[in-house]
Order: sequence, then structure tokens, then C-alpha cells
Amino acid sequence: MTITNKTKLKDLKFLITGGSAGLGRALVAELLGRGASVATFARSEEGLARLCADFPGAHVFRADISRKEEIHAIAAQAAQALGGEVHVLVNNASSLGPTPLRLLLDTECEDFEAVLQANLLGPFRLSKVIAGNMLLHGGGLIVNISSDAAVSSYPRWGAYSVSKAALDHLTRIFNAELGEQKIRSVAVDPGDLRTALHFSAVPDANPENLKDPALAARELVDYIEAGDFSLDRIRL
Amino acid sequence: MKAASYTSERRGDQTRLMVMDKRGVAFSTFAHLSGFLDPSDLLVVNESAVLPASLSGVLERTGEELEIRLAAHEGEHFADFSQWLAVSFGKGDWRSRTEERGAPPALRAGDRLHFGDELSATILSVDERSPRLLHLKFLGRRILEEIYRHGEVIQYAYHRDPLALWDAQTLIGGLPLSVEPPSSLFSLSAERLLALKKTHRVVGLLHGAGLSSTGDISLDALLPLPEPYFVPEATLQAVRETKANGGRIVAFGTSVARALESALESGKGQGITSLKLGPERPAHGIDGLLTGFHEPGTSHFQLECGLVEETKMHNAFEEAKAQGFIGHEYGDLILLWSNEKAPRAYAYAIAQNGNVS
Repeated sequence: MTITNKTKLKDLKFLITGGSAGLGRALVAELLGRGASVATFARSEEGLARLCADFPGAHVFRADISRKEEIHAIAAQAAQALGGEVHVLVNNASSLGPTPLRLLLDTECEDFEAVLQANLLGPFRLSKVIAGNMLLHGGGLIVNISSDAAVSSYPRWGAYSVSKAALDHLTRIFNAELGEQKIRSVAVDPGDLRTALHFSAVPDANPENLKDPALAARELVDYIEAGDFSLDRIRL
Repeated sequence: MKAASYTSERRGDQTRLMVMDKRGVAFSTFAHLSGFLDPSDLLVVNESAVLPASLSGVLERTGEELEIRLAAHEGEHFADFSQWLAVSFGKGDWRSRTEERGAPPALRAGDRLHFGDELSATILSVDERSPRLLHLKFLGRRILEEIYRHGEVIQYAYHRDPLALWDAQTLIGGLPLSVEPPSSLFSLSAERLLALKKTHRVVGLLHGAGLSSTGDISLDALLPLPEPYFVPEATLQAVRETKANGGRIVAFGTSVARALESALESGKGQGITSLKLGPERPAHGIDGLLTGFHEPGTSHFQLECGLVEETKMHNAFEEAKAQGFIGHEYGDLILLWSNEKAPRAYAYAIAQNGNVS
């Protein structure tokens, strides 16, 4: 469906990857609170149990975005839960790789690959499946959660940083190819968030300098509600 | 006809295309499909994704191993994946032709089947038409998740390599109602769909494409089994508008033909259809059918014979075979026109890409 500033949130169906923690969890709460339909999933049984307990209004299941074998199961369960069609895909799930973060020369090849699987290949594969169906339905929105690490070269953030830079460019290419079909993609830098992911990367970060993920979620949902997706990348 | 044996080979635009109407046939490739269409034609596609519908399990009562292939969704609504019509198979895997598999264990109502640790099913009843045809109900809360975890996509013995779930999907798949692929869409790349959308209206429907073969003559005679369909009102409206404006309805695949015909006949956009299309009950609602090649005698071939005289279909099949066309789900395509009126662009397409016989 084509999403514009006239589209009501309550008519939109969202698939959010990584809904059990951080920004993903805040997004699930915000969207449900504003009447949208939400499907999301967690990798672990614990994450799934938490989602089920906290968000009875959401459609939740267990899956791992980094595994190619599970992509169609994710898309299928979302379609089942949402009545056949996903209007907005939010590629939110992210992996830092092992922490403490290391210099690139100290990063194991397998760890680098695992980060790309979760942060880049997973979103590509899921977008490929979901956007094919969007093409038939006249449009949709793909939100890729990015980071300032996508554009800044912070030492030790190598694998994560590279994955997010590539995700930004994936966003641009999808827009170049599908933007005219009303399938818009946007890379969103939510800012430094007060999340477990950030503290595992920067254990001594001052919480007061970090943004509440609930605020970032509210800003992102406001952005979607405004219906202007002309930019490839935004910062909240 | 040689069956497509290279599993994930998708030739996209290079897929060979035979076009046939009452005047004769032309040969081309899928890249030139639009040359055989009029701008006023409506293209209708099946947007069902494909389930991993083959489940290996154990019969609790005897400990015997068996395979269950889901055949058709029987749930109350499309979000309910618990109830299915299914077919049992004996021990053995896809490398054995289905005809050569051993007999499955005798099943009865109330039997419990286990597929791995977290997925089980109860046999609600054994269909009176065949002891292998079962009505079953999966137990548990996360049925679709577990079907994806334990199931495999249905394989074809003529393939060289096993199919992965990715190999069985189409570009536009959404809700997974089908147990075998709506394979006429295998050639449809995003590039081609974007090009077609510039000149044509393309609309979707859902149809649970069912089993193409069971290896059992009496069971195969029942195919296609009753299958679920859902034709959105927007698609029905597009069909009505197209017909009112003198355009033609082109079904991408036999599953689209069955769904559309069922909706038009019953007046209901959603349901389970038992309609069998063929010479005695042609598909009146469609004017063109894009589909693959399947042998004479199959339900697929019979449906085609409802659009074009049977002798002509036989001749077309033989001619395609002589031309080296590849058959079955991952093979080449034929576009059949059921009416007298040929597309305006038809002569152009023949002159550019093919020859008439």
C-alpha cells in the first residue's frame, strides 16, 4: 500500500525485527499504543516469553534474522499474523559482535561475518522477500535502523560500523530501484540510546548523555505518520 | 518432454515461451511476453508463498516412520494453519519416484503423529476416497513456526539436487497457502514485473496451489483436491472493469484460473473450491493462461484443454517437445489464448521473435 501523510497508523501493519529489547521493544510499545498492528520476533525463548508477557496485543514468534534458512518463516509468520500483507518493515535487530569491541586486526573473520549476517544480509534477505510482495500492492516502507557509526570511523566499532554503512547504501540502492514504485526505504540514525547494546559497547557511558529509546521510538513513529519519505537517511 | 532438472535454475527472461491461439503457435522468450499482450489486458497473479509442506514423522501407535505432505489448507480462516488435508507416504525420500515408495502405515482416526519434539498432529478422519488421504489437525500454539522448522519443501524425483525453501518461492509471495509453487511465476523477475507494470495492470489473488502428483493412480485421479482461494474485491473489480472495456484477463498459472473461476461462479471472493476445469467445464472467466508444460492426462493438461481443443493441445505439446522445450515446474512456459481475437501486437511479436506454424 502507498503510505502518505493521510495514512492512519491504525491501518498500518508493521513487522519489526528484534522487538525484545532496546529500540525494537520501545517501537513495539509505541506502535501498539497508537493503534498499529505489529508482528515481531525474538531469537531466544526468554526474549519471546518476555514479549508475550509484556505485549499481548502484538503477534510474536521466535526466529533468528541472521539465518538465511529462517527468512521465509519470518515473512510467512508476519503475513499470517498481519492478515497477508506487511506495510512497514523495520529492520531493527543489530549485533555488535563480541564485546569488549576490538580493533579490526583483532577481529576474528567469523565474528565479522556474523555481524554482517545479522546487520546487513538479514535485512537484505527479508527486504527482498517483503518488498517483492509490496511491489504487487503498490508500495510500502522499509526502515533500516542505522547509526552514526555508519558515517563516522570510530576505532573498535569496525564490523558494526561497516555493516551499518553498507545498510545505508542498501537503503539508497533500494530507493533508486523501487522508489518510483512507492516502495520507500529510509536509514534512520536514532542517536546514542540508553540500551543494553550501547552499554555493552561503551560500559562506562554516562546514562544521562544517552537518549531514552522510548523517545526515539516516538520520534520515529511521528516521522512515519508524517508520511514524507523523500530522504534516504534521517537522524532522529 | 524433458523435465527441468536443475533445481534453482531460473532463466527469467530467457525462459522459452510458446504462444498459442486458434491460428497457430509462435515461439519466443519470456522477455517478449508484453509483445503478445494488449495494453488493455489485465494480468492476474497468485501471491501465495510456498510452505515447506513435506513433514517426516513417526506414527505414535506403532513407531513406524512416514512422510506427510500437506495438500490443502482446511482451516476456518487463513490465519489458522492447524487443519489440513494431507497425503501419507511410506518410508523413502524424494530421490525415489513417488510411484516407487513403499506403502505408508495404515492410519485411522485418532492416530497421533509426531514431527520432531514440538510438532504433532491428530488424524481427524481418513478420507473415504483413499486410505492415504487424511484430514489432520496440528496441535500446539506455534504451528506455523514449527511447520517451517521441521518441514521441507516438496521435492521432485526428476531433480538433480534437493530444493531449498528459497528455490520454491516466487518474487511476490506473501501468505504461505500453497504446498507446491505457483510456478508460472518463476520466470517473473523484479525487472520484468517493473516493465510489465508500466504497460499493464497487474493484480493479485491468493490460491493454495496443491499437490501436483502423489504417485498413486487413484489419488492422482482426485487432483486437484479442494483448495482454498481468496480473490480481493479490488481484483474482482479490476476483472469487471477490464471485461467492460473489452480487455482480456490473463491468468498467470492454473491456480489463478481456478481461483478466479471459482470466485466468479460462486459470487464469493473467498472459499474452498472443488471446481475442476477442463473440456467439460472450461474457464469462461479468463481469456489467456500463462503456464508450464505438464503431460497429457494430468489435471493441469485437462485445464488447458478447456481453453484450446484437446487435439490442438496434444499437437502443441508434441511441437514444444520437438523444439526442446523443458517441462514441469521449473521449465518453460506456454501462453494460451482461448478466444478468436488475437492481440494487436501479436503479428509484431511473431515477426520479431518467432515463427508461426
